[in-house]
Amino acid sequence: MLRAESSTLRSVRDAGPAAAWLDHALLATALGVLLAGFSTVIGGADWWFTTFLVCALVGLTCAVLRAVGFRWVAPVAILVEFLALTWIFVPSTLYGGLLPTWSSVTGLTSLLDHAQTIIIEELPPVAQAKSVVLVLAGSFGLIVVFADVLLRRRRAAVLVGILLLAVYATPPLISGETPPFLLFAVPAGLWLVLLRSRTREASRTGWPVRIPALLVAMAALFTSLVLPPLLPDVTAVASGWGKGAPDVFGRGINPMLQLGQNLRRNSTRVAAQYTTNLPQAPYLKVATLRDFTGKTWRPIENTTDNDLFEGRVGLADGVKTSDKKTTIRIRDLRSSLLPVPYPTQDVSGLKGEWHAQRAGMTWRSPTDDTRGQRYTATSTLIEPTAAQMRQATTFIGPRLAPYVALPDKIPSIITRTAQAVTDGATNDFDRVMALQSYLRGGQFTYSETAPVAEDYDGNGLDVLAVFLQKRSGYCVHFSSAMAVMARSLGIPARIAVGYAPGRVVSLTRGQNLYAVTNDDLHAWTEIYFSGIGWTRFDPTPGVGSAASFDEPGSASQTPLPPTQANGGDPQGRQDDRVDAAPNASQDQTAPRSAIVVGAGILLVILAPGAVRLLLRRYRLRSRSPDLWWRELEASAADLGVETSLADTPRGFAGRLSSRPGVDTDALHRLLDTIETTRFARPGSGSGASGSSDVQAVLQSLADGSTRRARLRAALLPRSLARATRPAPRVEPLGI
Amino acid sequence: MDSTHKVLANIETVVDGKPEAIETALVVLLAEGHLLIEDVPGVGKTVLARALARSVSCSVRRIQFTPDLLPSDITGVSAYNQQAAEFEFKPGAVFANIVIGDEINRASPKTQSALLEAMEERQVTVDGTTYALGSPFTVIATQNPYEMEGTYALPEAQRDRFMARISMGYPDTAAELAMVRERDADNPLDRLDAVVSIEDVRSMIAAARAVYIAPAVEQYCVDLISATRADTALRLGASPRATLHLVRAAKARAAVHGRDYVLPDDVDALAPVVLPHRLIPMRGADTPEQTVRRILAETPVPAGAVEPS
Repeated sequence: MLRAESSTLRSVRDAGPAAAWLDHALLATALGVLLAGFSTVIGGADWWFTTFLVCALVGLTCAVLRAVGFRWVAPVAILVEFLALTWIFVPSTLYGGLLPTWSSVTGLTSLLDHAQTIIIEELPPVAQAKSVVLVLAGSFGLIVVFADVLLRRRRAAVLVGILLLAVYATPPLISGETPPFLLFAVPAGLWLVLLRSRTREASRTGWPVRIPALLVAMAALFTSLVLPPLLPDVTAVASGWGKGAPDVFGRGINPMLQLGQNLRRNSTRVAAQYTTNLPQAPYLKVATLRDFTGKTWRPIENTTDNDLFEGRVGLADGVKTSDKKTTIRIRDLRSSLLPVPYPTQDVSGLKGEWHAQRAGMTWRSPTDDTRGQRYTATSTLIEPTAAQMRQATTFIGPRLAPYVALPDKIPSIITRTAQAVTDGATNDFDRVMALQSYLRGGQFTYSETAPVAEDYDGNGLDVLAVFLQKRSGYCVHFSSAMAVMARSLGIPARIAVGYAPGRVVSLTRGQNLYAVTNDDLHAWTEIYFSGIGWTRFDPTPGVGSAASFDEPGSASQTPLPPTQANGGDPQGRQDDRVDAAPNASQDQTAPRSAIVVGAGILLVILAPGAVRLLLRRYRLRSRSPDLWWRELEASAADLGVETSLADTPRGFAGRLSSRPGVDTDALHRLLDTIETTRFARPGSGSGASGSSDVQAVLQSLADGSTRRARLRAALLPRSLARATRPAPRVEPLGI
Repeated sequence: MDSTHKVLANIETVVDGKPEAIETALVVLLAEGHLLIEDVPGVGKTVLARALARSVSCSVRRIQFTPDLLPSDITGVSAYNQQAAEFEFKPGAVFANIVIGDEINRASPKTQSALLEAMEERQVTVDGTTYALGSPFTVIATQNPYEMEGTYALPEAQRDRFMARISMGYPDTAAELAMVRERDADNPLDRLDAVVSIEDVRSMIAAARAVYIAPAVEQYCVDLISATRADTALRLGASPRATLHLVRAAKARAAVHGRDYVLPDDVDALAPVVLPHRLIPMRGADTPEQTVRRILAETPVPAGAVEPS
């Protein structure tokens, strides 16, 4: 009995233990290569070995279990993966150094939680934190198990290609960098070998990849080539899938300077509320970006290499300072970075473990996040006079060198503009003020959508060059342009990311209560002046609390040149316009990405039908009765008629003619033709039937079917899946 | 009405309700093969054999196999003729165009092999002299299932020499009723006349030989045969002789149906009678008949390759 059962199931079972070993060897190689693609996402190299170890272990488990004919391969493989992960990532929680305990589980989940925060906040390549490696290794292990399940079924083996493709597409989607061609070619080649080993015994033609498989491959190639350039908008949508967009962008701050996406989001959420005794509502800073790669800005990664130029350190004599308190209550924000005014010396009232970042004077937590926090930040209000600022001469030592560093080749428009704008200024302060009023002045307009629409969104050098020509963009472009231009003049500059001051929502106990929302997410420029420290400049027209430098540097001071104050004021005070701009832009971009996504989904839905239609046209236009018959078989399969490769034409026609409404005369003429074509002596004439008979039979077949069957045939043609089955069928190419 | 249909119609007047069995018998005759009819006693095995023989005007011999039948009864003997003072060959029962071997498995294996050798070689050698058998030469053997008393099982090697094995099966109610009425008084077999001459049969055989078989159909036959060899439900698969028999029978069937080319349908129709008696099932597995039907349902039919020129 056992024997009989195994023989009937033989077609779906794998070909044997040897095949399982080969499968997993190929799969592990492909995944190992694909894993290398993640180097654009994670820094370092150890993670590769860890992840590959987990992959190999899981693959080995699957192969061994297959070889001994064990039934429940997937659950056991997942269990092995879990054990491996606990051994590698939370060894201290193991009982006897081997067995996981409950605290291993909680250890893993807290690591996963931490990984989520890192993924939300950090710019790729992220530091190779244990938690991120855990996510990678865990996912790859599951991929191996999933692929193993797919490989057991003949028809599904093709789908392993899609799995590999998804793995391939992930790093470019995250990092936006186009991976090298080899990364696509090698796994694709291995996949073809995988398919071939699967179909060789079955296919006599030695041509394993049939049309649908080829289509999958072509779609893959197309996706890999076309998708990455489309990134800015697609990523926002794509990476939100499965996670819920609000989780990614709603409550977290992504200091990747992908602020545009955050700003263009539809919903408005209050991130925090605060009261302050600062004379002006402060900017709340969460992160400082120092290193400019030419493509993007990155945070100061190494906190030990330090700049001791922050806050009170190194203040010149005579600069007026005072301590102010700001009490902040977090509402809807999840981040391991704390919004605080600059420069904050101390924070009280925080729950959990928080550390001050000496460079940039922000606060972050390795373990906790901002949810539910209420804290008081003590910051220093530094109020230099314009005269003091003009006198400041900055010596660029090794500690300041990173702040004037620029990539080797910068577009000439940037340096040229910087020179022209600052022409005639005699000191750094005047130059910086000139840059600020140039950007804030009427020549530039604030727009969140123009860069996207005209395809120069981002903050790379080339983008800045375009921005200086188009003169339209948002905070990312303005702050980045100002920082780069200042650096090109040898003035230390960096970018701060955080919240613009927000608006007053009520008056409590004599103090204004301010609220900042995700719409207030902002980037501005900080310029270093010797003896005064990092001073905020906001080159973005129409955003923020107005004039040039009012916060640590006391903008309201009279010594400021009136022209510059005017240059800032008219733009800054137009609060209504500021509010209007993001809203208008949201209205434009939201439908736009919806259209893109909608069109994409529609394309995916219609693709099978379109492929089928093309195939049908090709077959019907041919003069070959053989192809006509194939079309008839395929159409019948689409409409739900049972078909089998073991059908003879006559047997199939017999089944077909029992369907209601089928044009039996035409069918019999067609049958006669196909039998003569296929089986009679060559040259004995190919029957009287023409393509009109095919049309007639197809039409009558469709007419006799239900509307539902016809719709299904049009949208989800079963014959496509049927043809992917590697069948031991002698093809026209063959004999 | 062409010759094949005349024969078929003629036999149908005496064998009720068994058109497939009749057609197979004719196909085997035209394919120059031998037919084994296996069934329980009394379902018309011998009637079919005799009806086919009587429908063709050719020499017919009938041998009732019994345990004491000698090989020489079949092949013939050299007897000393005293008048002529020399040995004279007296042909045995096998010297006829159609030989009906009734209950072939009742004879001893030695006698069985004498017949089966003659079937394969189409000649008989007695005392060093070889005598050719007639053309056409067809043995139609009947046997009871070998579980029955007093039977010797045919060895596989000998079963393999029969082109096809059919079972009659019980007639359905209508056919049995008709039989009761018709044969109440007399035996219709006696009234059966020959409808085709031996020349007609020879030309029909020639026509069957000339039937075209497309490479795709040849491929299909080979695929089926190799599937029996690979199947786990079978201990012994089909022999190369089975391939030959299958192709020849398919050609003959195409000719019977008035076609000059073989369809995969011919192969499908014949495989269940040409293959199973050569196969030996695994213990406890499906019967060979079931296995052959499953293989037919699983083996893809080649699409053929001939593009119209």
